[in-house]
Amino acid sequence: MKQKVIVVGGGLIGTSTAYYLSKEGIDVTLVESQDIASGTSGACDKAIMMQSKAPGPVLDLALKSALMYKGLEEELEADLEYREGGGMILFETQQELEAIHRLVARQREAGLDVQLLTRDEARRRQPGLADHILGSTWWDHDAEVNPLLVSFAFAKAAQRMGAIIRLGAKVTKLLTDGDRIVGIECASEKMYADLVIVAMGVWTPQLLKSINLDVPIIPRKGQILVSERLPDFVNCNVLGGAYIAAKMEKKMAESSNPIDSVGLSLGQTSSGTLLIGGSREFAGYDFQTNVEISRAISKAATRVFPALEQVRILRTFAGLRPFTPDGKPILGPVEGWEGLFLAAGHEGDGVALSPITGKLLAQIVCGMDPGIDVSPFLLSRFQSTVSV
Amino acid sequence: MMTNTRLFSTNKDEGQRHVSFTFNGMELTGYEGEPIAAALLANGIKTIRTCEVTKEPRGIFCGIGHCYECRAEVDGISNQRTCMTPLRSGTQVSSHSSWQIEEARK
Repeated sequence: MKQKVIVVGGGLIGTSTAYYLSKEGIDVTLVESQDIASGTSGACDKAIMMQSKAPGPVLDLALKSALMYKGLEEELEADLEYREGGGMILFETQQELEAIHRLVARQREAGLDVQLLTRDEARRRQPGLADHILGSTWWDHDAEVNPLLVSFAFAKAAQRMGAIIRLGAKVTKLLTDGDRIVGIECASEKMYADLVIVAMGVWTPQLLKSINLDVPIIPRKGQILVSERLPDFVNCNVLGGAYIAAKMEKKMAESSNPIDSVGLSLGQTSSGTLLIGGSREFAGYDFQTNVEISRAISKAATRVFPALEQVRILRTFAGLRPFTPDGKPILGPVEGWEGLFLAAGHEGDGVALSPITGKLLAQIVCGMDPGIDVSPFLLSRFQSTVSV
Repeated sequence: MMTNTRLFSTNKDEGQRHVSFTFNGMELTGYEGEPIAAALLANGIKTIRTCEVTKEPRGIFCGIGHCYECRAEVDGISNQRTCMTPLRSGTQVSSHSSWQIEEARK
């Protein structure tokens, strides 16, 4: 008999998980409270950037995922606006230069052959950079993709292989039988399965509260600006050094003023608009945009690309990134609850990690050896002091 | 193709001032203060730009500033709605944006 799995959440992670499970012949039902990619996956940018990840388990996972992306358009029979345009991290100050040189040294040790470019080399690579930019990193294999297209393509491909997709269905409860999860309750309907995989991103803790399970995922708001369409001038992912220096040295979490947390990330979509981020702010489940933050992001962008002063912003949006205290997603089985798996907490790495997360979960569920050590990603790493 | 479609008025000299402007470098005339889109139409020009995706012609669709189909670069500012932008003497209208990343660099 076929194994029956319910995946809760229709974002980049849930749809990918549903797809790879279906591919293994599992009987999958994906349940989503709103629509595909209607939460975080529809309110983010599009980078598949390896350079921005700290060397370690997350980078290892991301590198595997990046390889999977190369063949994904063909596999899913869909245009994902995938492009391997490379990526650069700019240094504006001596301090950023030093922090990023340290990071690059670690990345090279981890096997990522990131180059360091001088001012002139950076300018040749990317036209329009301001004169004060001291230099940049460069990696050929950073890529980008349209996360909405990826989510829909995974969902459709899963559906073609027999998965059932239930949209507009809010899961209110996990159904238990002793220490076993046996299904979900959705409106007043009960659905039973051998396994439930919760891929609800920032909303994961809310569902798991129903079984008194604490999951340390905190919504972290990120705001992004959308410019008018422009002629092609950015082919790669551009990150400001402040953003990455802060990400690596964990200074942002302490700042209470969201304006201070603004760091530049910039890329151009295939329709020509720029996506310009971003902020990082703990503001609960509120995803209202803020004019002061828009202004700070605009300032960061025009400081790096002075010609953008002539360019208008069409709109701005904010999304909630599922932050975890150690910057790693929570993947795999949950200790103490048979039949419950998690795939959530990717913060800003969800786009990059979507394919590998789905595949990893499918392999674990099917009892295959994923060839990846899952232990750094288990929920139990946060529960080490709790005796079971 | 470029026929003048302006209606003749019996009392046409009631203070409306003829001004000259350009569309993609072409010298044209219109009334000062009328929407640029109207001035273009009066000169027989219906295609204000082409769609970036389909390459199909685009021009006045709603005429009231909602649909953004009639947008053009006006005096160096891209994506202006020509149906909402008044014509002035010497206005330069262009189907294409002249914005360039390097040109504006100081």
